Amino acid sequence: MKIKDPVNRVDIQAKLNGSVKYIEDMIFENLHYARTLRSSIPRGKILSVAYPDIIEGITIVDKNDIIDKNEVSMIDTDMPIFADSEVNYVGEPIALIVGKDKNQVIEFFNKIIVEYEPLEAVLTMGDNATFSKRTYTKGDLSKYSTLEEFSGHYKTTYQEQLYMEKQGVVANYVDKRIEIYGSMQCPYYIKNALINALGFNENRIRVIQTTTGGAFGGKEDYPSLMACQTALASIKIGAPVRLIFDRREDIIFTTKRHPSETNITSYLENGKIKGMKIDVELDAGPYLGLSDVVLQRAILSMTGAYQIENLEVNGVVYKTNNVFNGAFRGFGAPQSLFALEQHMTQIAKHLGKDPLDLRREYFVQTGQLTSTNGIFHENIYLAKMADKLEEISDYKNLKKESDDGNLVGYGFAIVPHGGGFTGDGEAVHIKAVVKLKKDTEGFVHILVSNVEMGQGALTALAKIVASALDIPLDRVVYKNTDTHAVPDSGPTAASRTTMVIGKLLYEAAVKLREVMDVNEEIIITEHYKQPDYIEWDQDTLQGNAYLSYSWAALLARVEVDPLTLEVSCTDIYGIYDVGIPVDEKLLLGQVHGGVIQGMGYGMMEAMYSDGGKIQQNSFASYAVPTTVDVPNIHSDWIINEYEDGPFGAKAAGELTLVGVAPAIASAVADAIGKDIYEIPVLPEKILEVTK
Amino acid sequence: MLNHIRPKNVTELLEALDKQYYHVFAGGTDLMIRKRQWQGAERKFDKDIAFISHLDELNGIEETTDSYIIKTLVTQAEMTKSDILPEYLKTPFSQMANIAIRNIATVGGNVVNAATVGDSIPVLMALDAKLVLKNIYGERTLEIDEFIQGKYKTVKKDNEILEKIIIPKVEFDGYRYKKLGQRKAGILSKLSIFIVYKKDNDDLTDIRIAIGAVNEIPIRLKEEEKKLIETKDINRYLDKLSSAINSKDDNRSTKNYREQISKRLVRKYLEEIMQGGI
Repeated sequence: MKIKDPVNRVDIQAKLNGSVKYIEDMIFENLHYARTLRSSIPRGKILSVAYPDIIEGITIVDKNDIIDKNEVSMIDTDMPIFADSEVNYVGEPIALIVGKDKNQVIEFFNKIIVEYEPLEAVLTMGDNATFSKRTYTKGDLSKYSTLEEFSGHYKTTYQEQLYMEKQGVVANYVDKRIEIYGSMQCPYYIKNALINALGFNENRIRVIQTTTGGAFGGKEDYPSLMACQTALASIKIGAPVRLIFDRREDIIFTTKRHPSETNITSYLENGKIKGMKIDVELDAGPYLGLSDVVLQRAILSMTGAYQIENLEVNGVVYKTNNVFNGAFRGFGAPQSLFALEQHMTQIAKHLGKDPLDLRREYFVQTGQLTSTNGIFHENIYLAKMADKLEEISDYKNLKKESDDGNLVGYGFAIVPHGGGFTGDGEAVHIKAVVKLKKDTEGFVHILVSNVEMGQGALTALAKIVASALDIPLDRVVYKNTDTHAVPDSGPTAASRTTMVIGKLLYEAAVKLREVMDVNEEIIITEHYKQPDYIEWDQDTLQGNAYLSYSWAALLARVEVDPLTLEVSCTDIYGIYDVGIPVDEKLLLGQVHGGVIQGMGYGMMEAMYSDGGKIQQNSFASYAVPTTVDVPNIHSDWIINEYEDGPFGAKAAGELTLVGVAPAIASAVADAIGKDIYEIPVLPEKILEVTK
Repeated sequence: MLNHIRPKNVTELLEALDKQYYHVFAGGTDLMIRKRQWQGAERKFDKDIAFISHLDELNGIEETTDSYIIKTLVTQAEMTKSDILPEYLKTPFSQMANIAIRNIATVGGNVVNAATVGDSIPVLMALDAKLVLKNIYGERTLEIDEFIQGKYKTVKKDNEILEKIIIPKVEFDGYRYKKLGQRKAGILSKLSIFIVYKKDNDDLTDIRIAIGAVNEIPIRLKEEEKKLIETKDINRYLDKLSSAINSKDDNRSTKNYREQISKRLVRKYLEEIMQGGI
């Protein structure tokens, strides 16, 4: 087949007809069920845990069962597997209560009494403890400090991934080896966390990804904690142990998108932006997790699609006793781009310019310096994309009226998303290895640790290999990941799967093509090599922050009911540059999903913490969009082949989300004639600003 | 150990209820959620259960010359599909919960549950619905506002069931219904407004206004409705409504939003209605 041939998703039939098995559907002999005993307070010392009399068949697994280290190894090892003497957030795991009979487990569980000595909890960002501070500059901002200042302070709140399949793992200790089955994005993160926690030789640890029903970043870091806990339980009991969260538990206690506050001050001279000073704050919760990396993407995305000559960008990650936050599609960029795009909208209004015209003045161009003094080496067609956006939306003739008297508004967002890990992360930290195996039957097996989690990786990677070899798609075999069978090609994250892993597989396929006719098993191995135009200094954050950028130009149309202030997003127009679409239907899948998830973030999904506890805990109170809320989505793309992507493809997964909320927020601002500084833009907030 | 019964008829049900307490289980859409403790474990019912969804005696929509009779087991979906019922009664039920819930949740359940966000309650209050409660000794008929005492509180005795709802037939000239939630479907109300009215030429002769999900119990100001017909003074009505509103912030909306927006909507609808709109 050829890359341009349209295909159906290879996994779709089994998912639609229900025959696919998720972790909750899998049968294990002698399976034990675990329920997590959690802290009920945001911070305190554990004085005592009073358990009822042990009944036969019930096992308590806690800090006393640690085999080597009470650490969940992520970037740091500060998070314990089970609380030791202190708890640091509402919901922190203290123990697992395990048994074969769920009714017995829950009866026992309900009688446990934990006594605490509460300590003062830090529930807001401020001058308290920080995990990391990062700074970079460009040009010389001090020369412009006497100019007119234009400032804005922007806030975002939590967002929950709300994957359809809840978090779930099964650990099984057999023959002195631990096996982990579960819904996950990063099998090798889990494997490494287990090596650290158990002190086992790596051959004694096997991680098998089960069909994963959505993740969005929520299954990047968190499953490592669950795997460590259930592994300890399985070792203690000598039977498989399953930990699957209830929906409310999953919503309240697992990682979310970081709440943020961003201050932007622009320095203006004769209607031009001469420089910007930007301060970004993120609330990490009690442990570092991935937050320092999230902060880096937040500040490195901070000038978006715009060339700002003089810059000072500061970022801080605060340590609090709120819920532990982590990865979520966009990874810091949705917060930054909301702030930046509102700021650009507000400057345009301040200067009396059309919001798209103002943005056009600053579009970055090939060969220019990036915000971190790298060079934009690839072709950038932002002006062409903006033209195309005007064309498909008929922007010049858009009407500000609606038939039913609603207020109408339009908002733009022109956004980048860097593909792959930040800076030289792919070469220094990930060091991806992929394998292609041709068996004696002529089937070609993809051996990578990147997983299908609903995003279409199975289809995208198989299509790349089949196209490179010019063989039918069904000759390519790509199964759920098993660390005993595949090399470490890195996590399924950072929009890297198609662009980075796809390229390595493409290279392997090109080599395999030469020997396809040989009638024996052949394995081709490819190692990641950093393109020579990438230079990066991680300490100073200088150089090429990303391998390449994908781009989106968006226009949102909203209607606001003047009485009830309810917002309807009626239309999203989007032009995308993802290099080439590996498959048009797959790209549309990402576009539609990104628009809907971004729309939820921008105008519906209110999530707040009270006393350190998330208040929205169900589908009934946490309002993700339904099909009736979904706007008309008008999308198109340009072709802009990227030399280091498979068939020219770049990143697509996160790009489609990051600009949506900013565009909608600007559209609401346009409709109501008031600036927006906070998302989600709820009717309750609009009432406050329009009073 | 908990038991459950599946009585053969209403008499058997009422006999059982007279002997001991049972959770009366019709659609179960609220009870099943409230009683859950861990997925895969048993629900934590503290009392025995009486299943009633099979009792045909308690099912069906009928009409007499002066009333619509809604038996307790009629589902919300059946309300919306009825050939008998007028539009003003069908519309609110078509916006409750979601399709799957509407197919199993019953009208009686929504009333007896008496949740603040029960969308049927303001509608039935505006329509002066009467509730027939039955036990083994007989029956009594109550106005719905006598029946509901607060959030999840009613005057139903443990040995009684809600047998049916009687809605007086009135030839209304028009109605308004607005439900606001955090999204357009499948969501609990932030607030809901239900208005029905009659006019004689341009003169308002009857108007009922009920506001749901704002206070613990839906607001209906009957005396002020009469004054409104007499004086046509919308501002006066809204002032009285303001004093009656007693909302609070929760995870669906704010006190301020509920108060301001319910008044805005009522004003808009009253102006339309009293200026001759339909």
